[in-house]
Amino acid sequence: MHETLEIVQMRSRKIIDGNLKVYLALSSLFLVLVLGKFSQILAVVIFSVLCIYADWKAYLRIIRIPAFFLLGAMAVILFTIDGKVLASFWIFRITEESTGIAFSVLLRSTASLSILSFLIMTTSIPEFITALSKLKIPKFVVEMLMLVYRAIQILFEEISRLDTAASSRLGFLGFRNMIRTASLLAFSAFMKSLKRSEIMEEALESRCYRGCYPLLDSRTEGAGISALILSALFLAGWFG
Amino acid sequence: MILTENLWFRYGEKDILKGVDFKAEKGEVTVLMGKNGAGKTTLLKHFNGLLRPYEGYVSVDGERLRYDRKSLLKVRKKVFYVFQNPDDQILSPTVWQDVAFGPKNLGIDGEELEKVVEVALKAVGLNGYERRLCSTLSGGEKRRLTIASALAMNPEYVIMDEPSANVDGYGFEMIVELIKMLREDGKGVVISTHDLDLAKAVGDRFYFMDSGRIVWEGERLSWDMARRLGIRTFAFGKIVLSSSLDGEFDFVGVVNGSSSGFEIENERVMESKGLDVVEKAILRAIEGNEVLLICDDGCMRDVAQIIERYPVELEVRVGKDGEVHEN
Repeated sequence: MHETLEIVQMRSRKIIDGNLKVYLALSSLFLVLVLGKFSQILAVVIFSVLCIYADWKAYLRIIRIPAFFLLGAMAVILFTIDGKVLASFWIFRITEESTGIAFSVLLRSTASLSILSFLIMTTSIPEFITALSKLKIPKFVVEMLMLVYRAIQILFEEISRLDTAASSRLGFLGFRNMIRTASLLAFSAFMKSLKRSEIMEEALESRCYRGCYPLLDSRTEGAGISALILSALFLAGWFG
Repeated sequence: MILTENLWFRYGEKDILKGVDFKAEKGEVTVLMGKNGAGKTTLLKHFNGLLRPYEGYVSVDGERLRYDRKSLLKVRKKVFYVFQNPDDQILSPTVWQDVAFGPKNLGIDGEELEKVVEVALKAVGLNGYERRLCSTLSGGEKRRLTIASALAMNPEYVIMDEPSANVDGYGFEMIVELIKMLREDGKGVVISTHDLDLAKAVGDRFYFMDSGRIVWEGERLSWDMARRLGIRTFAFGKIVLSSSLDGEFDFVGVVNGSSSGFEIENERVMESKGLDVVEKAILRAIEGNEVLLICDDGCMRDVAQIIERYPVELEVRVGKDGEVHEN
């Protein structure tokens, strides 16, 4: 079976669990954005290790796509900023300023990417929403987030079914077919989502919905490690 | 008791229900059968006020249904509707949240809520699944989750729209057990189904619908009748119950007696006595054979009742002329 992100979140090994992992990720993200390069290097190392421990195969799959965009963006920065030329070939020039900015952006992006990878590999959306709700986010926002997420789950299942049906009837054979099938799929998905919204309203009424959405509480683990990580990031940034 | 009287409902210009009179008692399983498009789901959706008739009425425990918000909430606490497609009913991303959804909205919270969810999940065998995302459950597990959601609300009536759709043999057995458990708890269960196996396994009272009308109701169901009314059945072979030897059959058996009194030419006589021979006859018929069971008029009714539970065609001939009196 194709391993979805939800399955990764469910199966990954977690040293830090519960709402704490969300707060750790958000705090670390804030620290690497405001502190210097040492805290960023440390964040890359720590959160990469946590991700590899959680599920190294999934980690490689997750960072593959953003890494591709990141490297592309680095190349653009490297070759487009003027300054003291370090090296040049054909029309491209690498300058002292461009290497500095590229390195700084790369470091900050990689640190953020590591932290966010840790978050999405270990935290399901309901856990994330539960953690946010503890931060006194308005109730209706939490309800909307839950319902929208459930709707997305169902829509993805529908799209997957439609995709299988189209593939089995050679719907993606050739460019023209692919375009036509994609437009049909988009239309069907839209119609199904409309129908689904009517059914969801019926289900909400049928189940006595009065604006209460139960939230999943989970046991918090790894408070010591979290404190250690945050202290290390802070000290590295402060003294670095 | 859920009661409908002269219920009429239309989508647009088309009448879907045409004067339906229906009754479902507490502590009983009432089965609603009929062809696709007969109006079964539409009727079920009236029981907790999801749909409103333009004529006639629904009453629950003697109280006529009203359609203001407060009354609807009251009736929905009593009458739980389990949707045909579990994905239509599951509203929360995780198993625990979905079971807790109803009770939480009824004002149950804290430890009591934990307890209610735990008991409901245990009853359907989903304990340990609390943190699982609903999108990662199999079809059978989703079906069980919807029933757990019903149990957590502790309603007095549970309405199930095709509960055995898309479940395998194990799932089917689980659903049968759950429905029986609900009945033993004194709850009234109404199910709509095309599945004759399910209907026979749990049903106490049966209704057949056709084109928006109830066309038959009763307490006994036979394979033959279901087939006549357009229900999907698999009748593998045939058993003829008769007091005399008449016609040609693959096998012949004699209940309460021996074959010596009959001049049977072929050698396919099932030499057994009493109910053993009935069991053998059923097995032979399931294999696709035509079997004659000879028994006297006194025991014919009892034997017919046993055979009716199995997927075989039954013909009962009473009297010397061999006239068919009951199918």
